[in-house]
Amino acid sequence: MPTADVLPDGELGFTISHFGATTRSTAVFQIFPRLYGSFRYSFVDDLLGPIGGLYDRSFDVHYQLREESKYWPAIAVGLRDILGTGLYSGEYIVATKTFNDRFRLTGGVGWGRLAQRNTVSNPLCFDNNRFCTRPIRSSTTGQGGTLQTGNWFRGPMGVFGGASWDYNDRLTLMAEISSDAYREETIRAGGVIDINSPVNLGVSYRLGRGTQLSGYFIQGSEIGLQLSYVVNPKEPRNNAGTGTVAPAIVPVDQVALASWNLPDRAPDQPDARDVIKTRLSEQGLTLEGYQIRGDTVVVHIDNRRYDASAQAVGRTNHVLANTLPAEVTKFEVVLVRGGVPITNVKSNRADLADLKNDIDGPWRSLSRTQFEDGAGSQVGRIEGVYPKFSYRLGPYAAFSFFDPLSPVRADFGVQLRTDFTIQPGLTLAGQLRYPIVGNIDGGSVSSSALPRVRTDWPVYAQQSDLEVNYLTAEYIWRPRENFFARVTGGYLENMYGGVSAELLWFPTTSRLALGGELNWSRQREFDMLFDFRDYNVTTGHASAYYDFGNGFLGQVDMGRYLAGDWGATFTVNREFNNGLKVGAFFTLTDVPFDTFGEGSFDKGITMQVPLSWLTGRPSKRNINQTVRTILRDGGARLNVRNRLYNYTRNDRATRVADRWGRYYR
Amino acid sequence: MGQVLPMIRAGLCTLLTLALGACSNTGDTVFDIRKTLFPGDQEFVQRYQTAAQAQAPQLKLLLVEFDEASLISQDSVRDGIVTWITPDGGTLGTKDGFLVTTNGFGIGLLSSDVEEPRAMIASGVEGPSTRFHTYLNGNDRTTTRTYKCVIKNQGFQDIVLGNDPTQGQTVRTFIWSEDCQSLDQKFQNLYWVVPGSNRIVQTVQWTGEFVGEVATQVVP
Repeated sequence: MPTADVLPDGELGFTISHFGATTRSTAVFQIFPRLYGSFRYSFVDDLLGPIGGLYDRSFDVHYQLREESKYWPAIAVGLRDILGTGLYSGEYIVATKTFNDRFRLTGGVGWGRLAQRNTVSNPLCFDNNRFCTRPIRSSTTGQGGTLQTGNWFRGPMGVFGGASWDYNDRLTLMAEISSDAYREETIRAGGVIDINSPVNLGVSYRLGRGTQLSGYFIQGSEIGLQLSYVVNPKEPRNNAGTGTVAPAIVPVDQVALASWNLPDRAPDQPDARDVIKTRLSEQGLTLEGYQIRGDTVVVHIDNRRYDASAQAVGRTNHVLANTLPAEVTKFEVVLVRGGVPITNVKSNRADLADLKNDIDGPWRSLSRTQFEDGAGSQVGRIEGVYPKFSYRLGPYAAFSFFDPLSPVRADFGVQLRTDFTIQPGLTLAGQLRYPIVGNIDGGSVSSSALPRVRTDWPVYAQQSDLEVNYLTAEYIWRPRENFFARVTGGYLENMYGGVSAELLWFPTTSRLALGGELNWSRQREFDMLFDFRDYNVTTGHASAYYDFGNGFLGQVDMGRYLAGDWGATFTVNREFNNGLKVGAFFTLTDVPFDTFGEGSFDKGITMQVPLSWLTGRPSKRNINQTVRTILRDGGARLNVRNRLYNYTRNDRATRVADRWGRYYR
Repeated sequence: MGQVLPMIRAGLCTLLTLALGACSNTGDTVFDIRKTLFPGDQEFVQRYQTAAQAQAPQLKLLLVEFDEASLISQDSVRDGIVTWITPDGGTLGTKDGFLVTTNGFGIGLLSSDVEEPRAMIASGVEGPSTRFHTYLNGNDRTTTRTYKCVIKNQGFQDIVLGNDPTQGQTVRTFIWSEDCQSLDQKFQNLYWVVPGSNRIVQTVQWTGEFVGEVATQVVP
């Protein structure tokens, strides 16, 4: 039974439950304070009789029309299974009121699945109009994946209601009268669930740290269990983080007496630049350029440790303040990535110490800091920085979801990733994987009316052993202020090789960025080594990126996709300030829904969890996962590494300023 | 030779990978996750070791809610604020014994303004006071909170300084309490003050919601 409740803004909830023949897993995301969306993946055993069970994917949305007040209940409206094949399709309007903080009453009306019993006529039904009947949607046929607006709020209404009582802070007792009669489950295949009563009873126990265990007695006959976990992305377990902190700021007069600042320094003693290089290295930063111009020092730093670039700037400024003589009063820190200057952060030396313990220090220090484009910043190059080699050898896990025979498939193995930056901007990179255990190669090859640009993925898994995931030469540079450019050639991704070129306009303080990309690619051989297949295609996109400033990022990519189809991809991400990101996307192209196949068009949800969010220690690594309802050939885009917007955004002024709270950390 | 050493290191990493999980020359590995899973596995940072070897002044520190105790060493002094460093690299900043900042404890007490209670206790004045805390939260946002407090002298207490209660140094102190509250937070700080010198030798102070109270005692 739905309630009118919502989660606190931004919270993520995960639930797995089992009762009768049904197993459900659900992910809920509170997108706005009043709106949440959920994705449900269900399995109903034996629902299709001799064929077996039914796997069902469904999206719900729930909007709280008004918050609870002293006299009025909270009121919400919801749409269930808005894109699926209709097994759980239904709409509701529900009200919930709390009494004495512990007792809650809920009542509402539902349509579709929620109007299978306790029904009354639809108040919008008169003169036998369209609201009097609800068209029947089959739960097992059709491509699904499209909005079924024509069904919403049609047909008779079911009335439901219930109550819950918090016995204490951990234990809650619940009872409800349900208008969901589990009709499909009881009718099909002789009934996979017994239904004796509309009454459901439940008890839930909060285990702590957002975990809750619940037990249910459903419809007078079935017992169910549910485990749920709720997490707030704004509140990682380690809060503001642990680990080593910035160096203490040494008084300027003491710094002046340091050996490297004395005029009679012996020639074989390290100079200030050497000391800065060593001290930055201790902070996980690489000094790539250094120059003193009058009262200003300009340093180029490559930050490979801090996911918050503001923290890298802060650490650099601490090192500069503890090393340079008093005559140097202005700091310019140019954030560099792969040798490409991105943003120049200018600050006054005196502010660093003066504001460190100020009650409003971060804000005041930010207000005195200037951000400029890093393009054109010329400094003396530090010898020995290039060529730069980095590697990473470790385990990996790869997942595939929603295969009809096995909902979750995974491979685990060893992965070697290397980067060899020959000179600033020019990088040779490669990644090899060797799967050790897993079952991704058991995925089923589905039919497709389009060129098989993605649906052959199980064949790649089956026919490969050692995988060359990518092997590329890449050059990134700054053609002029506010512009970035990239050219990448080689084996670009698991299934394609070729050449990719991109240009991005992205002023450092701008919320808007515009880009264009052109790719010529050819399909790789299934063994994922060095040969190619016959299929080749030219693709490209014009892209617009916008940071709405309230944690939401929008992106539109318009152009040609791998199957030669033309269209656009629309993406919205909610990005928390600490870097955790939850997003959704869909792609509409000129491929008709029928030709596309199951799902009708490409869509999915994405999640990015910074490693620092999990560990509390600074790290630039992220754990990314994209979940598509199904991977088909329409609306498929080439996967090129280091697309420029994401490559540069973390170091652009808006993002650096957003995380300025970490400047003194 | 310069080319060979990285290759040898990479080879060793292959073996280590099988045993431990991952290795890299970028200093960013799944060892970070191991540190999170096994937080008791402390690494003593160089800065702490340097301070300890220099026999810098020390404080006994107890994270009350976590029941974790450690000896922390004086790292630096600037503008009257003493920075103390913990074995795993976190820092506390105190001004005349009053906690003003913490860093690296998970909580981010970025800074605080405790001038009013500091002046009142130093001059032996009871009554209402105000203090301000600026916190850094897990979403990298800062918030400043105002607390209304009441300061009281709770009388004498003899306390023993030192690790061994039988051989420690007994000191007569006044206990001062500072009861504070904001709209949704409430805490009590306690200060053990030596009469005459006004030196604070022991405290229990609230750092914020995440870590809660910390207790400190000077090491004689």
